Amino acid sequence: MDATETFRMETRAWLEANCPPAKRGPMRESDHCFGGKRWVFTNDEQRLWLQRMAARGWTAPEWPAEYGGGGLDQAQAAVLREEMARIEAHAPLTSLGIWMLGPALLKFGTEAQKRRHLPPIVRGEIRWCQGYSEPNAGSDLVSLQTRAEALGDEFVINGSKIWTSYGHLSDAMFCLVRTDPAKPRHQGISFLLIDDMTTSGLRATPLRLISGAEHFSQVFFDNVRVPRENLVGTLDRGWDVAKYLLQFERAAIGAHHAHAEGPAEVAVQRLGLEALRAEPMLRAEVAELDLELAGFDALLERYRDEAMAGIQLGAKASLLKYYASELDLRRQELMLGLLNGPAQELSGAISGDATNWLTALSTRIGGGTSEIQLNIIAKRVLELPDG
Amino acid sequence: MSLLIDDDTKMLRDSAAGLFADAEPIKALRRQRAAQDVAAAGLGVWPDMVALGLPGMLLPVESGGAGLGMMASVQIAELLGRNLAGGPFLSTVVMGAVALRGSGHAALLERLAAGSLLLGIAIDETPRHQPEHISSRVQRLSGNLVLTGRKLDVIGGNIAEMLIVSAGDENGLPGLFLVATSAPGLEINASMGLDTRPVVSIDFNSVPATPLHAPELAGKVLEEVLDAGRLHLAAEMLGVAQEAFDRTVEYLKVRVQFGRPIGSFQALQHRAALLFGALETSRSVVAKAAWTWDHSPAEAPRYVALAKAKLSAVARHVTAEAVQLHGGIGVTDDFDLGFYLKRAQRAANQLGDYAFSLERYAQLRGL
Repeated sequence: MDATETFRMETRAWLEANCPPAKRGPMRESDHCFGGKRWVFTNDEQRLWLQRMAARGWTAPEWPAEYGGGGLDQAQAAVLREEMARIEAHAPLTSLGIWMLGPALLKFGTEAQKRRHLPPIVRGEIRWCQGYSEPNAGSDLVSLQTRAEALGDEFVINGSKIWTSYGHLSDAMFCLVRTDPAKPRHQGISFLLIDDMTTSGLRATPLRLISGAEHFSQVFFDNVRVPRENLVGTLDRGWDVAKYLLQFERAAIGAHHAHAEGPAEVAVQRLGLEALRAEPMLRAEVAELDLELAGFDALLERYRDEAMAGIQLGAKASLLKYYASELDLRRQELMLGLLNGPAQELSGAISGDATNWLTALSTRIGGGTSEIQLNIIAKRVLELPDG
Repeated sequence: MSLLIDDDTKMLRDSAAGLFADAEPIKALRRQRAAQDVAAAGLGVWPDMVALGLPGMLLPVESGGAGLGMMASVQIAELLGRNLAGGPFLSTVVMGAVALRGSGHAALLERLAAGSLLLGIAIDETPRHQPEHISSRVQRLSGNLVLTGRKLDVIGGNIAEMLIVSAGDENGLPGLFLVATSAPGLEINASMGLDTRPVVSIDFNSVPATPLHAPELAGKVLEEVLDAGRLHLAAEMLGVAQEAFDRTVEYLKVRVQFGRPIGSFQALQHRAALLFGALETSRSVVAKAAWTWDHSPAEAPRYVALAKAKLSAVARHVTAEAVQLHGGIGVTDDFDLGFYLKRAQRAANQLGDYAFSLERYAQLRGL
């Protein structure tokens, strides 16, 4: 048995022994554990599962062990993912700290920043949010205006962020701020940590969406002070950090929808085979979408294999974000449209259909709109000229 | 498991790429079209394929073959598409080999592997692909089996020595039969298709025929032969579409209108980005189908249907978009792009178009 197979057997045994039955099976909204100082665990199993995984560093399997991570190599991390998928184990932690801030600190952070910030993220003790978009800087993110002025040992921040996911529920924020308004747009931006959202002058209010959800917030800064040591990377070069991170965000959004049930199964389950066959046009629509999703699954699988072979995904992450969100909207429209009556209520008999559909509309916009993703593919993958 | 190819396959692909490109297949297509030389069009780059040892690539080593899997053979099909190189690859190397390899015809297998046997595949009888629609019949006439019927769009039929023909056996069950093209009672009609490849129909009038398999195996082998053909047509279309796209992206960078390269216009950038996405997905479904065939054959039919449906749609769309993005020059005959467009059209329809493949996918998904 080679080392990978040994690791697989050990991992399988450990997961079997340690993953509580309540933390297995399809993941519902309430199964997500966001962690942080204000987090109230849905149940004991959720707390236990987080603690057990965090103790091994398996909430961040590929981070170095010295910062609390699992210290796994790519092959081992893949084994862990596969073995978790095998028993449908829930992710122990849903965390922007793990997806986004961690990779930024590992690449651009100082040794002190890594030692201070990474271990609490791994343990799920702090909940980070991402302060990027602003009321006048959406798709055109680089036009952001929130100002951070260097005064002595501190930065003083004024302005506003919007579309901040769970901003009103988070403990800390990493954000992009303008540190030199005189420089050209892409320069003069810095990547800054606000490690306490209760700092005076900071206010976060939730935004209510068409789905009824309040996942996003607007955040206001009125002379918010943070120490200079909270700067990540070089002053005025925060755009490099942001660009690096956006790929992680897109890949994460892209991978998110990979293993949902196929439209074929759902349609048969809801209508019955006979009723579906009695409507050839509807059956064709279901088959066509099922086929497109199977194609997307194959794309994800090939890109994963490339990553394992050391081929960087790079700007192709935009393709995953584009397809994941566009296909998800098609899926939700078709699923919601299968049945009239109670299924069409906002909290309908088939729970969540309407909400999922309305959420899909915002997924096409957040993290860079579909059109922005196409721009990126055209410019950075196909290397087509700028206008 | 991995949808990527290994180093040996890469080496094979690279040597084939060089030989196919050196053969200048598009120049050859222009000559064959001018001379209406249907035989030369049918042979294509066959001498190069023989030189590379490709004829027996899918046959077992005991039969003189290379014992390779579909993951390797779809690479060759893709290259044939990229270079618009023709020849009896689909008929002989792929479908013929799959039909023959379990049949016990050892001498024929060895000749196939050596590149000295060309096969034709005669299945369709209707203008749409309906392989289950078989009117051709085999009967016993004074002790010998003879086949009577009419076959359309016979793949490789104008240059083949032997044909593999689907027909109802003495009990009316579908089977595959071997027929020599030199046999009496056989009439071949070959013309030039829109893609400068042969369009062949054959009439069989009590032609001596030999069954290839035991009747209980025949249905399954027929399905396999068809799916092998569909998978490699999908791979060929991937090459056709990728090449048309790559040329188009280069053109967008150099063609100047309104004082700037047209590739700087967002309307065209988004079209190009979407074509790129369609091709990346296409490459993945072809790899997935080939991998599944090699490693998890029970699931292969579904993924082959997926690949053939996807590529039948994407190859036609990408080549038509390539013409549009080139503008006027794209619709001139002197420019090579038209050959890609026409090949995509023909291959998209062969052995099941988008609608046929989607229906097959739906059935295999339990719909």
